[in-house]
Amino acid sequence: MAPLQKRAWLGIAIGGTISAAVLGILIINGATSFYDDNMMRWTVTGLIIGMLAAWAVLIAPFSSSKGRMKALYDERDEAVLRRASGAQLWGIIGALLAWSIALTEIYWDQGTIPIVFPYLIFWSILMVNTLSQGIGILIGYRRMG
Amino acid sequence: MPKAEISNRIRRLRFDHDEMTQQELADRVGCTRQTIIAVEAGKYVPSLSLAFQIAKAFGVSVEEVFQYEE
Repeated sequence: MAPLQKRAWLGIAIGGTISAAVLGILIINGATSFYDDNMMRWTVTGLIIGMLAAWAVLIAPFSSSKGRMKALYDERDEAVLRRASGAQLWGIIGALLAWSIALTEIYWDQGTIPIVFPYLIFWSILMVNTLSQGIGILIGYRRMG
Repeated sequence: MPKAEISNRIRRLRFDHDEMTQQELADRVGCTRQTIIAVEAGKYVPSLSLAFQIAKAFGVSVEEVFQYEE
């Protein structure tokens, strides 16, 4: 297994766990209480930043063409990384579609959505972006042997 | 455009060069063993640069390593 592939698996495991935790917190406490409950807000924000930091350590070094990581990957890994951006695009489109449908269905009668949602959409897109890159990397390795 | 297949004789050439291992070939051409495995299995088509390096490692022309089949 290539080093990038191992890191993608690890990243998905960490990202998936944190995403599930964030989702669980938001479901249990209610997303609209995000701004009222300081503890919840800092916990969710901390978890998401932790996930992004883990991703920055695991995957981002492979995007650099210089540095010590260069010895761990070659042109096939670069091709896999490039193709993974396609999965990121579909992941983001899917997440935005899900948010749009859910918020429209739930808040159709009110005509407005609580102000917290644009903030949560932003964080969720960052999470989906990192997770879908990992999935794209694994798909790429599967297709390219 | 018709779908083209690029086959290769890397396994045969490794055998002919004193059973050169995939790791040895990878070290010579500057890529990972996983990439050699993928190229050998026909799952990854290498760049021109890597293809020339592989051919050079065996001391043959690119056409003797890779074959283009329509």
